[in-house]
Amino acid sequence: MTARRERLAAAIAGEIADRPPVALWRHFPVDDQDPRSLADSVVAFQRLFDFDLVKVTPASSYALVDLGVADEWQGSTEGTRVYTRRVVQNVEDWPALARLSARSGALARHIECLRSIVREVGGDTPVLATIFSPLAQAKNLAGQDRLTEHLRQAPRQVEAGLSILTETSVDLVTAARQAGIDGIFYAIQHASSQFMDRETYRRLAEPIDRRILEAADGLFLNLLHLHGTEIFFDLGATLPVQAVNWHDRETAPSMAEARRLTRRALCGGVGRIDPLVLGNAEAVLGEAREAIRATGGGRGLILGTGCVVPLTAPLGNLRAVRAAAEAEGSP
Amino acid sequence: MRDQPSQEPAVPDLAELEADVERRPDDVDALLRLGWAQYGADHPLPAEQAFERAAALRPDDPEPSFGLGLALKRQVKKEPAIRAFRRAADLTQGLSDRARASILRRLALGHINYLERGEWDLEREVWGRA
Repeated sequence: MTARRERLAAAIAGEIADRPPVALWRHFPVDDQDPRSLADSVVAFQRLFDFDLVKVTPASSYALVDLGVADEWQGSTEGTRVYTRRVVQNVEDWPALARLSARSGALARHIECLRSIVREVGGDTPVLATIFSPLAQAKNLAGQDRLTEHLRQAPRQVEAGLSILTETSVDLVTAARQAGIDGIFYAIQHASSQFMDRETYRRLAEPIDRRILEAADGLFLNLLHLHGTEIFFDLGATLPVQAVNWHDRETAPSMAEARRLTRRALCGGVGRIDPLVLGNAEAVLGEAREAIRATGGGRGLILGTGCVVPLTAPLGNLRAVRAAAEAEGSP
Repeated sequence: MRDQPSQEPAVPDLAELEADVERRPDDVDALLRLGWAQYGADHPLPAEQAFERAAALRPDDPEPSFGLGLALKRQVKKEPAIRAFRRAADLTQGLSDRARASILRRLALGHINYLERGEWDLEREVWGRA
């Protein structure tokens, strides 16, 4: 049996060990409002499925509550929360955002949560902390429509706010490193033509992304998540990360095309609604097989799904993802 | 809501890759793409042939030998597979990317161990303990 870390190291190098590593993650609504209960739920989920890495999924507001946002879970089957109070109303609010410290308040509590998870499952199982890109944080502070409007009206004011969020994020990454994480899951939500053109993203956001990833440099596995559809995969895949995760079953590029575009490890392969929620174990196995085939036998593949697993996914289907990798592996 | 499927092919087009190799028979990268696609499609014999040609054209590169080892291993051709993995492990010394060299070497040795003893037995290589 090859160790989990070795499996992942092989995938990062574009190869395969005894089988592709497997990882799925999900939200834990309600539990995610308390760092202890979030840690307990993440650890319990890992013990149930024995994945090759643990990606910690807090609520998207975890780095923003001390800025004054409020949100609540209203039953979304993805486990995401709805913002009920935004803190950016006017363009003047952006440069006035507070620079938070990861040594106090909600951020410090989240660091404690990470430390606890590392203590419980770390070692041979890498633990990744979710860091939302500053642009994604800005969306949650203002709402997407207002963010878009402000970027047109007063880009310098928004950029000043993004700069503050960037410094807080860098501090968060530094503290998370000290807590023993093995990498970050860097979630980008705006590298998509649904929000802006490629050049705008490159000018506005890419230097910020690089600044944060630089803070995570040297960690074992930094995993880039390109959220949504019509993504700038080529741009995202040039960032300094070891692996890329995207909604490969919902948007271009396909897994086969992505393998042609980059040598980085690719994370995905199984559709998160169909078949993970709506299908059965056989359908899950079929998609996993296809992903393994698309990557030349699972080379450089971390088998998973393009985003969070919905809360309604049958447990048998989650077990099937792991079983698929074992069945298709090459011991 | 169901996922909206991507319009791109989910798996490599083997006919297209074969045509690519026919057009440029000495292109090692095209041969490697074909070899890995055949291996991924569970066609180990054509994979073996593609990797063998690639290894002959680029004898200093460990990747064709590593692919060849995997294709032979899948066909249960034990001794030739061990020879291919051993050559791949030796050739990693020439790689400038030391991280990749280290992983490839460990994997090649792991496959040899598995073929010889039924165990990866990478304790010393991976964790530095005997």
